[in-house]
Amino acid sequence: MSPLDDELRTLLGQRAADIAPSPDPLAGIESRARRIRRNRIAASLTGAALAVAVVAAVVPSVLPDKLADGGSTQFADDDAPDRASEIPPSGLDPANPWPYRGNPSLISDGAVQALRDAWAAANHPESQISPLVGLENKSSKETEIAFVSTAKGVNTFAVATTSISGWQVLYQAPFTAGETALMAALPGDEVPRLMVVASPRTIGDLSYASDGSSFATANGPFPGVAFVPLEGDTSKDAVRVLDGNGDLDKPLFLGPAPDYQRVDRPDNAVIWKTSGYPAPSAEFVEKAVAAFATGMGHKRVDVDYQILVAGEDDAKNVYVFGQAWAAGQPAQSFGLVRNGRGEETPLLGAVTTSETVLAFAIPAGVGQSTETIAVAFNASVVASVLYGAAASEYRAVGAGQDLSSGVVLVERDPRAQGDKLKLADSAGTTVFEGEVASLLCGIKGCG
Amino acid sequence: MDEHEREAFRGYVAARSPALLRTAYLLTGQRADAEDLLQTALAKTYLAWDRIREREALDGYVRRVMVNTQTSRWRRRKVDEHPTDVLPEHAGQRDAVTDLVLHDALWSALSGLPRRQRAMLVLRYYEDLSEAETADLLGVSVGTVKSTTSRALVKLRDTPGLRDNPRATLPTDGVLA
Repeated sequence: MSPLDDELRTLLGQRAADIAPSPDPLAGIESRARRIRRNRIAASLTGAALAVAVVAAVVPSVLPDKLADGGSTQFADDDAPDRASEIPPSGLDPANPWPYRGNPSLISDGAVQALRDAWAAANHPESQISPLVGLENKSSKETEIAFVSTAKGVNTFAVATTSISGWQVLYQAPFTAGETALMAALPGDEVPRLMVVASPRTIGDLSYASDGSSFATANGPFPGVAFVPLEGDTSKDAVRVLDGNGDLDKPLFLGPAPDYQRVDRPDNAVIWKTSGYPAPSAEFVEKAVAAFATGMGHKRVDVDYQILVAGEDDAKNVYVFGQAWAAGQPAQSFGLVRNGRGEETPLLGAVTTSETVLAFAIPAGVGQSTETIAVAFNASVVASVLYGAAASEYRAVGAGQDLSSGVVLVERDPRAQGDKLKLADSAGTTVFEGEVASLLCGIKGCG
Repeated sequence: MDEHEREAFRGYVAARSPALLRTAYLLTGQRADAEDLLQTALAKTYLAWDRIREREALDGYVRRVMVNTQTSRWRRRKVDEHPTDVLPEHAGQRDAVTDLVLHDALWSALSGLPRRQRAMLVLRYYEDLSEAETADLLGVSVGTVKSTTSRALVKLRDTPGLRDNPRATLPTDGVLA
């Protein structure tokens, strides 16, 4: 027990005690519950109606002719790949994924390219992605994309959302070719939600049972897509996908729904739009991560990471900067720089304390009298970077460098004391001000 | 929901809403926001009432809904909210000026914490939940609770007004109570 513990307990207790009970706590609860229920139903129905209209009008190929004619929803797989014998008609072929369902504007070239860049630079370099479902959250206006990614024979089903800091991956899990239902347990405003994606062509009923047996049709905005709130006890829940004939004896898919698990990221893992060009090679990233694992005494398999900034400067230094962490540990910055002579320097940064900026000390090369500090920042927030030694005024740095890359290189005197940084947004508001030492290992100790 | 269950729900609300409102207040920092948060949480509980089998765990369920709801609200408002150096006025009587200054600084610092760090402090230091209970309620590991709580306390301690205050020190070994 520390003095701060005591004060915190006292403060919380006192402040809570000041709160008098509401005179009529029941008032409004039932009406609000009805409003929530109405909104859930309306959202579901509106989404479904709009989706069908959009899909029919803009992506007619998604809707099979037989469905439009009111006929059976069991379809011949007339455009199945040559490997049709290996992939069942209702299964997902990673080489020829199910067609996209959703508003096409959500997967415009720019949007998909940004998602592809973020996905590739974060953890999946050299991967190809194919959007399966696109949705726009009605209240937040954020876009959510479910997609499959393929890279070097590894197939991944993932769901990502736009955010104020760029694309954020909500769910990712490997899958095998031929799977008939892809599922993701996603965070929700009220409770977690289960997303089920199946073929748009060969399926009929898509249903969910919280107890594993009492199946009820699950609604969704598009054919073969359903969302289910994960409420109460979900330990026995299951998903069932039937073919167009509703054949209960031979469900296309019958299995447990995944449990919702928060993405296991430390709280100090920042959420930035990954920036920099060109994207680093997978080998280069792996070298950086392996060096971090070795330096920190972790097994490589226990280390997760995200690349935040990558690129190549005018001096032909190729770099990646990011955050890495072992399970249960806070994130700290790491990186790797390869100079024009091919010499590589792994960089270990401090445990991240700022959501806005990281910094790395790059040792001086042979014959150089100055050191370099690489200042990596959230490029969507920061518009100017100032640097100064303790006794000197701040000076703008990064002249001639592209701040939109999310990194500036600052030369410093190795004998300088008390280096400090000041970062501001486009309105001139300071978003970080403090000593560089708190961000670094290398020039100053990390403790 | 049949009338019997509706009556059970009303009984629960009548019995527990004062305590739950206090928790909501500590999560939000504002009376009006707290009432709105609690009403939302109880409305969701009402909708899920028939599916909640362990009635003795209702408080945990409502707390979880409140934390999750507050987290998502906070996320949506994040771009509009900024911590302030100006301490809010406090009308309550305090024993000493030093208490008032320290606690106002601490309350202000709490307002500036990320929503999950604040929630963990409320659960640990107000609700007196153990690390394991907090982890279970929030669906995270005990290690995450430890590290998040530790970081939250460090952040509080480093706030101007608390940094040099001997009553706001932390254990030097980083082990929390």
